[in-house]
Amino acid sequence: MKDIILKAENISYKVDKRNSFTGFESVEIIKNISFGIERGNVLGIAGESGSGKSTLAKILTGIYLPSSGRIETEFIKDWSNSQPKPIQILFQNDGELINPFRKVKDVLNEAFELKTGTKNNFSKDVNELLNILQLPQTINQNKGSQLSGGEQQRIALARILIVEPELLILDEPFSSQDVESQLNLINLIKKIKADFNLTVICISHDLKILRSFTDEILIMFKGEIAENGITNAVFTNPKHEYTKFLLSAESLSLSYHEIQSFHLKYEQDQRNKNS
Amino acid sequence: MLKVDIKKISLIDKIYGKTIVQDISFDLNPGKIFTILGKNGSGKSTLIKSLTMLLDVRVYSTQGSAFWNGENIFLMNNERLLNLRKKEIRYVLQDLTNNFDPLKKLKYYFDKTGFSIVQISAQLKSFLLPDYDLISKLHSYEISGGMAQRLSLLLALLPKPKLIILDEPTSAVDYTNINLIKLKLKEFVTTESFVLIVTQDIAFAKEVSDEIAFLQNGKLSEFDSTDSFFNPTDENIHAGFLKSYHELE
Repeated sequence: MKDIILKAENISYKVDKRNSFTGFESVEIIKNISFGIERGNVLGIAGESGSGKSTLAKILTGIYLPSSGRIETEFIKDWSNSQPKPIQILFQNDGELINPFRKVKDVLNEAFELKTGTKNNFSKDVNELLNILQLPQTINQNKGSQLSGGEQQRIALARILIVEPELLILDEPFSSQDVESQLNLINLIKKIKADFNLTVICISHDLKILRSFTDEILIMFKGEIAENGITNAVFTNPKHEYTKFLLSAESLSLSYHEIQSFHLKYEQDQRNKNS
Repeated sequence: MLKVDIKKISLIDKIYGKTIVQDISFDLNPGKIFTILGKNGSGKSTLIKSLTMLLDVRVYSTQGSAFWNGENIFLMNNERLLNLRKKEIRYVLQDLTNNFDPLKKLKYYFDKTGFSIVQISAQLKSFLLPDYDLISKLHSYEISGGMAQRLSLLLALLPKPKLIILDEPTSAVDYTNINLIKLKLKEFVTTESFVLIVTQDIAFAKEVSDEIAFLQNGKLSEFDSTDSFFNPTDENIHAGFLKSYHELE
């Protein structure tokens, strides 16, 4: 019997969208998705822009309510009376993860207060956490605006770890980083996963990165799951037509004809669905 | 064709003033795709913007010269400079959706090119963009990042410039778009035209470039063929950078 921490069943998500060309329309961003994640695993979610990766992450975290379907969770600790929730998300790093006017120390202290429900001096715990995230303790006194993109991301991660969540969702944590920073972050994620007994869901459009550290992978295509399975198996023996296309696209060796016919075929599929 | 000899680009501010790049010289000629690879914050964007004086003179000071067909760009008058940027050296910069005016429909940008709807329609089709009737009615925020990227490249290529300069063309787009950008750039290069890319995307650089140079701590290595760039000796400053890349594989 597998130890499943989260199970999504037939999740759909619709929004009403206004567009100056098409007018008012209801768009289904997530279409009838079902999957599960085993405790202690790293699940990668891949797919091209607009495939619904971030929307799915927000549904799993409880930020959006699905239009239909259900999510079952099985946590070890009792979270029923807890203000912070067992599923935490690290948002895409757009340089605005940390309040530019607040000191790092206060940002982290606040998370401790929320977790423990007491107003203590948590400087010892804060310092310990900064050590784990390989940040200098002097960063405590810096304001959000004085941090680099990478530092902001680590402080945001520290703030999440204070909550001691059981499931951590990372939304495109590697975007706009150079390869050295990406490698450092992968190692850091591995380390905190072990230190904090985490289950991790990592969203990325970068197949190379996902291949290097995920156990399972879920390939999304236009709001649906194209393929879901053990990372190695999916990448070495893709079953779905879209996965095959994505893998050949990753090697950047597609011909113009291949791109065009895929594009036209997708448009045709859309038209068939709409009619 | 483009002969750059920049002594120094620095911030003017007396307190925070610092040097961003120095002693940069290279000589690029048509027929190839050139790439400058570098990490975050190495000065890549600053360097390419300086080439046609796009840096704000109140913030940056640039010393040196950049010769375009024997004419020093840094000494050009404003009119000549505008013409250069319009017809000869075109840019595709980062953060594309915000490079379009959100209050204008895309028709505005098509009208500005001076090309006919028939000509533009043909280009839209080859870039796998929606038909003219549809896309010209949209605002920039109504199209996806990938579409904005392709549209910017289309608009940059239309006047058939001699040089296209791209800043991180792959940072916000997916593999299919990157493939298309690569093919379009290769198609653009002739005996009279060439491409300069700055990026941190090693995989893209490897696929698209004929020659690569590495920018680190404000200094640029010499341009080298892609093959030999990816087989560095221990003395090459980019060896460590490539090592991280291979570790990911």
